[in-house]
Amino acid sequence: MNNHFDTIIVGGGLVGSAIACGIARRGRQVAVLDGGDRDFRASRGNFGLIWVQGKGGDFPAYAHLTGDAARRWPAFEQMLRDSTGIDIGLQQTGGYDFCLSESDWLARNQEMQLVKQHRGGEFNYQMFDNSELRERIPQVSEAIVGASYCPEDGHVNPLYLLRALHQKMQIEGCRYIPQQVVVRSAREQNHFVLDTATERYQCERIVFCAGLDNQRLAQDLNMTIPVKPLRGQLLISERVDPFLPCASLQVRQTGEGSLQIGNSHEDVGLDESTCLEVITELATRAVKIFPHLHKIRLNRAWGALRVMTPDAAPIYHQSSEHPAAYAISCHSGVTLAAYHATGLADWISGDESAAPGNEFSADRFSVRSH
Amino acid sequence: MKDSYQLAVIGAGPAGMAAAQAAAGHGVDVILFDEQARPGGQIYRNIENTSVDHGLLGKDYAMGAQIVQAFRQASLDYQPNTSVWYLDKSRQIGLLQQGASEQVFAKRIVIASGAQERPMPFPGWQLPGVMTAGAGQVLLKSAAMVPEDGVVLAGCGPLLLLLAWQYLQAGVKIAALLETTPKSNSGKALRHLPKALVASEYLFKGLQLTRAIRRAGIPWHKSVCDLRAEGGPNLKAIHFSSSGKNQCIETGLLLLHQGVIPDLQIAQAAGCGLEWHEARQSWQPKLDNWGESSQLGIFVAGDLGGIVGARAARLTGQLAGLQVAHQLGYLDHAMRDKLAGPIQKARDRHHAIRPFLDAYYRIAESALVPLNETLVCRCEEVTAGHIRDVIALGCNGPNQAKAFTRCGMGPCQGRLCAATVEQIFASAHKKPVSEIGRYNARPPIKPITLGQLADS
Amino acid sequence: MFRFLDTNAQVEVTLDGESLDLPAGISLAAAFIAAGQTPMGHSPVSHSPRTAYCMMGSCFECVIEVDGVNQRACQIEVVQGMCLRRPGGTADNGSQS
Repeated sequence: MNNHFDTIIVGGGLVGSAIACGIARRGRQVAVLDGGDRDFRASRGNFGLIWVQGKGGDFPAYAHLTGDAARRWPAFEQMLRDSTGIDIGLQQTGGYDFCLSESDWLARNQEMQLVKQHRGGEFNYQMFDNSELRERIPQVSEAIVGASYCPEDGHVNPLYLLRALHQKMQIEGCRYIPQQVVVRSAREQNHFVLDTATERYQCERIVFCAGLDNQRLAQDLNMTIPVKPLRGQLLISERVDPFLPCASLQVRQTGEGSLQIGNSHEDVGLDESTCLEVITELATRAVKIFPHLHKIRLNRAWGALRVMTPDAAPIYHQSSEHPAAYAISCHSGVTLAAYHATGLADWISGDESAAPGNEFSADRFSVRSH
Repeated sequence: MKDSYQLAVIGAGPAGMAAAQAAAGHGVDVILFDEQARPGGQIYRNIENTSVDHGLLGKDYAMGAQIVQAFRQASLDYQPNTSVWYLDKSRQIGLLQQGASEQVFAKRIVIASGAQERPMPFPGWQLPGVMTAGAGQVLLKSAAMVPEDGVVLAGCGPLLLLLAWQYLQAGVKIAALLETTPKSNSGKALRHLPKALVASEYLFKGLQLTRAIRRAGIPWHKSVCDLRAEGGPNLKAIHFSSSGKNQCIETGLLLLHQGVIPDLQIAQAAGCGLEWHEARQSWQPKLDNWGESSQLGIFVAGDLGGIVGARAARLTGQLAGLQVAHQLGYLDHAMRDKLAGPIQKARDRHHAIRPFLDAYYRIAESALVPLNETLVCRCEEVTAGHIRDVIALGCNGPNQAKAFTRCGMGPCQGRLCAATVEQIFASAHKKPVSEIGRYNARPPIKPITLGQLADS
Repeated sequence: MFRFLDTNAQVEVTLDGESLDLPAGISLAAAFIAAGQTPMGHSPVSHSPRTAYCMMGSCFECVIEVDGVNQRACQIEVVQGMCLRRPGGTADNGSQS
């Protein structure tokens, strides 16, 4: 087997496979090395949101980036569907973030104003009170104070998205190689070498997209990528007649009709398990927002680990020591996928004009700490 | 109910009852949860109440009456009509009782959730009128219902023959018995026969059943393969081939059986490690000699620990109960070993028959790895072909296949497709199932509504 | 498909708005089968006809709406006055969800 590629992407989740699609489309010879079936996989715990509102309140470039990624989505989805035939269920009809208390509502309003400022006014959002909200979604409880709404928000089925990306990257000639956890990487002469338990790979360009493993992997090439797990638990209900025309941060209705309920944030280390308290809390909140879900059965609950950077914004890092080595870490694998497969892939392919900007380099963390 | 117990037992079949009694007998504070209204599990289901003559159901079933009676007299907290929908490694238990969710903690847990029938997928197996042999037994024991004349029984394993015998006793006219056991099995099983002789009662029972079925003159097709059920909306006919000949029988009821496998859902959700048992063609929890799993404090007893049958299940339950009593300080080392000695010996004697039965009734690969058009996941209607499509995409295992196809994401949570998906992967990669792995199990183990959770 | 070894009392339930007599004292799934009410429902994906398969609570093929909540019919006893709704519409109309 020939194990020498132009570009190797380490990690076949939403981030790695989106970038692989983009780079392979530019004619480069790409391989994706992926791990095992039961490794930590943030992509399988994704909530599926294309989420703009509230992102980058204290990071103007990130606010811009998110808006830009959301705008790239319709064309990106079209391209994926035309090429793979997979309908990933894109719906960009806006999104709600429900406010369960008065103080919630006020804080949200302030946060939204700030994002609007950062984006030079180019950010549409609305704050709804209960009656305005119930006009739009009649099933919302009268006890809910209101919600913020942003028309740029949307959602997809994250699992079908991952499948479409895997299919697309292989259509573009990318080699996908599962069960290959990289144990060591190094720069040797004029290329990189990567060792797994069974194979040695070589490449000219290397991109680490391995989620929580990026910290360990990038260290081999002297890059410091500070990422930490943040657990989220998710509930999936049985199928329900369609009632939710938009995405929301708390409850999402899938194309099949099931409800995805989530948004817990737990700092528990590398523990993917569930706990009774959080499952109960999530169900309670869903019923509080939508009382008619009282009699709906829970089908499945699970935990997954988000890949969090210290400021929750993505890391797009190019090594200064080895300019052909990159580390990409973020927890918004769906929202940013349309950008990762296009603009970011251009940059990694060598187009400096497409560079995301130094604000996104991991150096921002070491500079701050000095 | 209290908030916390020393021992919680899940399941009131032979193993669960025995574990609870053994521990309670030495002073352990025990609670037992069972989903059914009455104790007995699937094997002694409805034994206290059935209107069916015990003689008709056979000696093994009749034995249950005494066992259940003794259990009723034990001093422990028995909670019927209670489903355990949640269990994690911290031994927090989520219960559902009369529609209300409650939470209980236990220092020790014995999971005795028993077995389920191994899925037997072929084209048309989802048609109404195709059921499992176990379903036939449940209807007999708990509802005194037997098939109308013309039922067809198909598959492999002792339960299929037992059911045929029970139906004969009840005067049911069986149209045919389609045995899928490969011809070559008997030769391969022979080398296990000498060891099996120590538990010869199983062999005699098998011979008796076989003889009775033969005497009744039921058409008995051997080495059956290529099953295909046809109909709409209900089953109308079953097609198959036997000795190279394609055949078809018109029937409205087909009962299937291809052995039983551990019902792993609760044990897996609690984080108990699994191992692949090649002879039994199934996963089972990794256990020590007392039944303690890789999650310390969580024990497994009975068929969940690997299919052993009702009598051995009872013994494994007793051993788990004794060890729990010992760990909690109610039994010293010496006493535990003294009490356990004869039980272990008896258990090993019952285990001796298993290698023979496992080899004799070993399922052909063709019956485990279905054709492309066959539904693998009945809930989400995913076919074997869909699974092969994602394998071709490089999909790295059952969990990724689940994410890509929705296979196993429906309400049954993979109970009816997990075994088949593993086999399709194993066959495609030419690897043993032990290297393929298995779906992660997710709560809720039993259905619960969002409202029941919110009100808890 | 099945018959009783002995006779059974009856209870009255409502199925998709119409009254129906079912044998008493047994599980709801057993009662449906005994009354010849198959298919019990339709799958939500392709609306193909389905009926109880395992009778032990594993397969979820006998799920039916009982007084507003979807339940496994093999795990509950049939009770006088139950209000039942078939999943995936009635036998003649498989298009509802």
